[in-house]
Amino acid sequence: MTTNRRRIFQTLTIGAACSGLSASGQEPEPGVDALRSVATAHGVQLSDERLRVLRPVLNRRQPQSQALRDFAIDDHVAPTQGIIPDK
Amino acid sequence: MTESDLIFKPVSELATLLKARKLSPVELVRAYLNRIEAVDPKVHAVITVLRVQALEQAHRAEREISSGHYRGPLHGVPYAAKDLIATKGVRTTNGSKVTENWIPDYESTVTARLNQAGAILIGKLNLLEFAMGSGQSGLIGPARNPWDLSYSPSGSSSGSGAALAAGMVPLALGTDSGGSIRGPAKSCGIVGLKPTYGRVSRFGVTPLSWTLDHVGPMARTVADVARMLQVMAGPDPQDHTAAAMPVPDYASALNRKVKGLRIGVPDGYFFNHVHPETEVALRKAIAVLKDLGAVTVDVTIRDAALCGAASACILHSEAASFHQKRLKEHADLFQPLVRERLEAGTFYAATDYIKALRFRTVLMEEMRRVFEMCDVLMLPAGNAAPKLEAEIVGTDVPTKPPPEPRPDSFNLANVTGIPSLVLPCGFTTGPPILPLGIQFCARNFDEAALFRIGHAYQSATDWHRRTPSLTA
Repeated sequence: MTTNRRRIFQTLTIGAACSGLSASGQEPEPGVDALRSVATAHGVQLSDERLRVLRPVLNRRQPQSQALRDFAIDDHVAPTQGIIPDK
Repeated sequence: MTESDLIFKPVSELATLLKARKLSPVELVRAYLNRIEAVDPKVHAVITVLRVQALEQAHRAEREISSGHYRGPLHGVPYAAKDLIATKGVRTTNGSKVTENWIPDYESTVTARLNQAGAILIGKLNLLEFAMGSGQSGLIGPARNPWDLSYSPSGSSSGSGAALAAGMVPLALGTDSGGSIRGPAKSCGIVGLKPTYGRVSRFGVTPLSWTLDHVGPMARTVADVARMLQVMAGPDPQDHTAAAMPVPDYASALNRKVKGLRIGVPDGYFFNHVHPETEVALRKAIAVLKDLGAVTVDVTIRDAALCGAASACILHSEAASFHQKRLKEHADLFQPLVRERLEAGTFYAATDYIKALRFRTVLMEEMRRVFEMCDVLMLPAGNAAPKLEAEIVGTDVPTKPPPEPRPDSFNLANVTGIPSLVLPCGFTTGPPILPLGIQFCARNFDEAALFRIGHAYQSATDWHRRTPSLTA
């Protein structure tokens, strides 16, 4: 039952992301000042002109990124970096 | 035999003629070089033509074959490589002004293996910049689709697909991180294989995304793709991701019947937005395979709709990391779209990237479950409509209204590592008259199953024998 509920929720979440809406409702879109802070924290220097170019691109990605964040994964699942075990 | 008779012959036939010394490698190389000279000004598939080097190697191959030193079915057969595959002493541009004068002092493993098998490199092929740009600017401008020059051949292995369709080369190398072999294969009506992750060494191939990148063979028939993979596959001490898995005899897979082979057909999601003519063509292709004895099984791939988001996060994060220094030093030399994607890639949080890699684990497990129910999985060869070259936009900045997201039937194989083959299965009624494609995926390291079904389909159909009416 739990698994089914989880599946239903995740299907709805992914569906929302694919239709361009965030599952958790309307998220505030980060402005240029916020992006500058993130870029600086990541050690990247970008001009305000570049940040203005990137802002709509990043905002467009937001629903899909959020859907990925919201996707429930069991704690025992570790990341796979692409190397497929020889079995 | 005229040059036009030669250039569209499958390599299986060319090899028979070469081995029997009824055809000289020199004559064959000249035929393709002449074809490039005649049609490439329209198609723009080739960045560098290696006329002198190729003819020297053709003469050498001729001497070897004449003296009884026949190396195998690729001996004396020309090929060309996407221009992000390092070739020692030969300019390798990555399709970018950033590296337009780079001359590697080492050879990629894939070209070294093809060369060792006697294949002859005749050119380096156009691509989208660093395998991630749009076709619009780039180093020599966009490659054109030989079936209709106003249309895109798709990318990023655009030159590889276009060169094969135009008869400029019988074999080509491409790379695929999200459909970059299979998209051009579909758009150009040729065959492209994204092998299993780890099946083919990537040493000497400029990375786009280390955990999504694959190098693969492209040709006009499944049998020729199998011949190429036979030579390219296997472990490589220079690439720790190249798996120590035995390489089976793919030629024997080609002749296995498909009777009893289980074809998984997924439900709705992957078929959203598929062109109506594609849907009809896919159904007809399945009918052909059922007539040959294959059976279909309905399957569901859970959570597949999140694959695109995971792929984008992984690809853009890894690409931003790889190009970090170049972007800092030469930002103005990148195409606007590539620069935009690389800069945007720096905004992903490490936690998002790790989440995407954990989602990959979930999806790999899901594919193991799916392949307990079927032997191969059938998918559309992409969900994008054919694109007019002039309509391709060199930015990810959304238009108003933004386009409705489409399912992506290519990323599934990149994210999970499973092998995937695209081959032609029809044409639009047009205009424009453009190829339609079908995609098959299989279990990890089971490329043989793809060759088995693909070759059976091509033995029963003639889509792969059609050639564009591109006039020289």
